[in-house]
Amino acid sequence: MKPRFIFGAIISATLCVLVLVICFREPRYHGRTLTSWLQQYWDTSLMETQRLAEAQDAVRGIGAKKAVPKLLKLVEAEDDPVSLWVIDVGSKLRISDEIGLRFIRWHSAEDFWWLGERGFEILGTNAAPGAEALGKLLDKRGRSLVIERCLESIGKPAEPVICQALTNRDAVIRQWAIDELASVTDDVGVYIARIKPSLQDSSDAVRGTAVNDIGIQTSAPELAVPLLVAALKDSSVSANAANAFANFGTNALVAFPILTNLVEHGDTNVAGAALRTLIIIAPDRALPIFTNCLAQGKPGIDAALKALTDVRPDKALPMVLTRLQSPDIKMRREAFGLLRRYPVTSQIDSAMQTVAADSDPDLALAAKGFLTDRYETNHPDAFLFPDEPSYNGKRLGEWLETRIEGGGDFTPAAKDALHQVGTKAIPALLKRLTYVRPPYCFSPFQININAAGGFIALGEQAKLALPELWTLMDSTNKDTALTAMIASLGTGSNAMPFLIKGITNQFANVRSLAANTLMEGVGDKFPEQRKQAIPLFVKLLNDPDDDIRLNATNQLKQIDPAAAAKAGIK
Amino acid sequence: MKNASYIWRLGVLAAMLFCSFSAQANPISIPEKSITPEITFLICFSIFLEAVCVLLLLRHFRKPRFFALWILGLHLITYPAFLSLLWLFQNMRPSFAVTLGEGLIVIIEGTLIYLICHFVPPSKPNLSKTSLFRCWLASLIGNACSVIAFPLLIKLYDFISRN
Repeated sequence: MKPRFIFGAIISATLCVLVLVICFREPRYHGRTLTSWLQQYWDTSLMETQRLAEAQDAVRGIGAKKAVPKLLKLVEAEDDPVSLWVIDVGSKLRISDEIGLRFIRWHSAEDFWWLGERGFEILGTNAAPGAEALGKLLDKRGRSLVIERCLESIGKPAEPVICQALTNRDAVIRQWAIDELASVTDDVGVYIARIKPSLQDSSDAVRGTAVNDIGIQTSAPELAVPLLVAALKDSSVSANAANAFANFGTNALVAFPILTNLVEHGDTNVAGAALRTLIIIAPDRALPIFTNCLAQGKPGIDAALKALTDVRPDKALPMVLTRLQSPDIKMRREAFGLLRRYPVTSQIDSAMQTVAADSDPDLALAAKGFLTDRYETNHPDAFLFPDEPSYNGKRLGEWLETRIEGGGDFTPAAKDALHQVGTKAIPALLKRLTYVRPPYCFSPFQININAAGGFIALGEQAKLALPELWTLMDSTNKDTALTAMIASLGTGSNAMPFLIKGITNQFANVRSLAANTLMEGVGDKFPEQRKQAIPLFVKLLNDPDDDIRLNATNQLKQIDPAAAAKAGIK
Repeated sequence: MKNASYIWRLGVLAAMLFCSFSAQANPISIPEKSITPEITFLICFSIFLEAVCVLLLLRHFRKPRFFALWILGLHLITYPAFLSLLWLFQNMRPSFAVTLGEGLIVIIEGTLIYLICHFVPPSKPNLSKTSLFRCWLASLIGNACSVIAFPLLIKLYDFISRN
């Protein structure tokens, strides 16, 4: 019996060793497997450059010769029903997941593909020996994106494989090949010759991609333009071709008659594209055609008008101004967009003021914003408050903008300056807090909020301003009400009545911030005073604003679970 | 005195099987449906099924008293070992990892059953001793039964919990 047991033990030990050898035969670097390094590279955020570099070094350290076979295995991985079941059950029983938060991290085939792709990305052109095998995998369903990315990482050495992909049975892959070939083909003539057959492809999408890609080969107009002229005859891609001519400037003049014909007889898309191109390549010759189209009210001329504002702004302006008077809102909005591109003259300014009174509120608001920005440009903030106090040669406004880099807080020097100026800063800060910019009383939020920050930095010294701030909280301007409440926050327990008042403010942004600050900010330091706000929190449960109601539910539960339960919150 | 010793041993075994240590952690509670009953049901039934298979296959051979409890008890070693193997193999395809893990567990369990049958005092010394290969076979069949039953048990639990 004993020799038998020993024999059995030897067999089992051999089996175990064999299994371990099979499992861990993967290439390694510093004791860790290639997959584990790839996993690190996959999991690490772009911010953690050191960890990323460590994984990259490891994969490069393993070397393409050893790594590529394993990477190919990874991108070849297939899901089987048992694996899918194991993943499903593991996830259901919360033993495993696919993101690494549970005890076991299973990998579906797709996870393996992306790990492999990372490896190719790291190895770059060194992974060239894998290109041919990757090309064969392009035909496999579902993983074309991964394989394309791998081939893109390999780059130039993958050129033959990408050329082969031009005839792949999948149209999406053929489109990718047309695009990708451009980055691996050095000579533009060779590139055009390679993708020329794709202009006869059975798929409209592939032909469209070929036309688009030929259309950007502006360094070889003698090769590209004839092909584009031919493509104009293909109704599925004629709009692409018509658009593409615009890239060739005067070299595309040969197509002028055909494009003119398309403006007359093409469908909306094609005619619009042809008209736009005509305007770009020969604006003066095309202007009568354009005017004619405009008079006929032909659809699809917006793009052409936009092009005209670029190449002949003076000719386009009367048309833009006319369209601003249109009863059609869409047309007015388009015209306003074009008007914004003009340098501001008295004519433009006057047109903008007309738009500011437009019946469309969005359009009117946009025009007001434009005019306010214009005012800001002509009246820099630095000159808005000439009488404010200074400290150490810097004016209050400058100190209010002196913040820690990357953070919102004042620098220690700015805090010190504000303390030194002390209560003398209050009138200027109040001016800044309530400042609205002419001519439409827009609140320049940065100026207002900086002033509120100034009050907070003053701390207890800001108490003198509390009566004014209390009144400002009733302002009909929501930004003023909000910044007035914020300005009180540096005054310790004195801020509590402001926050409690804020909960019942007419503006949702004030109510929301008041509730949040009572919960987590100042309110947390004065729990006894906060209790006074509990009935108001109960009222917030019926607030018209969804977010406020939702937050109030949680806030009330936290502040006073009994009151929350009484209010019906479980 | 002898009875007291058995009760003590049984108590230790039961404690090992059913005790749970609380983790002194402070987790963020995410409202999720409890799966403890499901896991308990699945694991207990599949281990029980395996034990029944092994018992049936080795019924004509020498084995210790409360052999079923010994088999259940050895899962205190083999179940964590199985999970550890899965953890070790987690970079493999799940089906391959589970097959490999199960394969190794069959060998380990078979060997442990053999050792239990040979070195723990038997209840019927007149029966012949079992061989290592038979123990492996019993373990293989037992594990195969529990693996095959696992999906059925999941369906059964779903059915029970729904009705």
